[in-house]
Amino acid sequence: MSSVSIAPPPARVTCPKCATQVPCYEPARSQYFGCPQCRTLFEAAPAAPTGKARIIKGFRKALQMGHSLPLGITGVLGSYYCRITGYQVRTEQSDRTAEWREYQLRPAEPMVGGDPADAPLQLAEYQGHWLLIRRALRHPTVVGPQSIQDNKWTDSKTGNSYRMWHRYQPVIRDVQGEFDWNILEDERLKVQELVCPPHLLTGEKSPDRQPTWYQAEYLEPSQVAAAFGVDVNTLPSRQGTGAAQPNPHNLAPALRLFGVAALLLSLLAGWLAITRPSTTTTETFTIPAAPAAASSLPAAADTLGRPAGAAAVPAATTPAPAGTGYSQMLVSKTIVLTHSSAVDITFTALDLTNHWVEITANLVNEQTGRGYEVTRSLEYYEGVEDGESWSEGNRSANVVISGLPPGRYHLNIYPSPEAGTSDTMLLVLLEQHSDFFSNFLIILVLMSAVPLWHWMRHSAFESGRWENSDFAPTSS
Amino acid sequence: MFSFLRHLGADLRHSPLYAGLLGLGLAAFLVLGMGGTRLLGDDKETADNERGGPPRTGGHGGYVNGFNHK
Repeated sequence: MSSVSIAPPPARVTCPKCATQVPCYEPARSQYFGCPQCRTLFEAAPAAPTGKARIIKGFRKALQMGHSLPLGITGVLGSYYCRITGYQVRTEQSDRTAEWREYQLRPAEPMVGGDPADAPLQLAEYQGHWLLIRRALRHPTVVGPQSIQDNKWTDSKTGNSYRMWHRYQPVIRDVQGEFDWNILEDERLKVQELVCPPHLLTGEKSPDRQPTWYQAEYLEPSQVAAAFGVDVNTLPSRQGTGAAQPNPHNLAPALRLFGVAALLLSLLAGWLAITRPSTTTTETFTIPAAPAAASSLPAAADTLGRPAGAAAVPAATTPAPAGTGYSQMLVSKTIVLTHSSAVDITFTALDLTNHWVEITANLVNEQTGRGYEVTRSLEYYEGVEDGESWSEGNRSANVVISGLPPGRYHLNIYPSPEAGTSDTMLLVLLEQHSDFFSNFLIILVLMSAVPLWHWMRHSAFESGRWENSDFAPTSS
Repeated sequence: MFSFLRHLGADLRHSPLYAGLLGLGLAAFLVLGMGGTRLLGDDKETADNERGGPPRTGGHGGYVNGFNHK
């Protein structure tokens, strides 16, 4: 910053307290001055140097941090060539721990026809976050002393939607440089700020006037440094989230990509359901009652595990071999899988009450002999206790065998009923299908991980923005 | 619509890794669907070339005399 050259001022005024020569770049306009040496605010008339200066106030509180842009420095902001002519530190009446700095901007070269409406007026800096402030061309209508309907306002021209961010009354903590108004009068202002990143609307209401509105735009520190030709490291480092700081975690790209992918996924699921429709087969078997000591009738079985003659006579029942623990082997009809798919099997013991039956089933590929074994227990109990009926267990159980290659299959069922019970009707429902809602959901959840991550970071950033506001969306 | 596609093109260029992962997810769903494979919850207990013989285990479902021992 020491390398930045600052043009000498055309005039100077003498501080009435310490006699320091305070620079004055606009002698025809400026009337109020802050002495950088003794920190006294005084009134003077640079155009009439013989006039006596008048002390207005002296600032005594020790400053935590001085200004990071020197008075008199020039730069290009929003296509305007500007000079910093004044500097002030402000805080709030209700919270004097938060201090921010405001740099007064004036045209560095004469402008024909006066100041344009969009000329920059101030730079404000709080915790390393910079705002460039201009007059607001459009602003909300204030109803009553300070209220804006629903604390929201939408700019009808740009569509920007502003939310109430903060209300406060300022306190001036320090002044240096030159001003064309008595800035201490600003302590009577009631200020309200509405935010729509990267913009911030500020309404300043004095007791006897309509509010004056200003629009601020967030500037990156690098933009400020480039505008004034200073090293960005000489500017205060950013802390926290600025009120008008744009959220860098943009959700829209990830959401758009996810939306398109979810649509394609749905189309694929529909295509699979249409081209590979489900087929269902239902069969009913009788599980004979198991005596206390199971009978041991021998049974012949072929190499596929099917009892002799079962292929020719589907839905057959065969007594179980000795010592196997099950009462009888049941064989289903042959089903044909025309393409790779899954088989969803539902076992339902229709008249199962207060006992159990264990079902072991083996789905056998008749061409290759490969078997796929599953086991399910069906148990259902009910009764009345203290006048209240109760039940537990389930008469049905479901299994899925997936990734089956095409071919002819049958199901060998080995039921093991509880000893001493009567015959049980077993309904077996086999459904062949290729589309799985669970696959759809799992892939959808995996695909949503990236937008979810973006959303979490976006939300965390917004939480940081609103944590210093009394008008946070969650508390409104 | 044209604006949406323009944005989408920019998104693809901006997030090629995510776009690739989405494509991979779609391809995986298609392959799984064509093969009749369920990602989670396949209940088969054997994946070998086991012959369709009798069961190796019996059981009583955890209940003995109406009391659940599971």
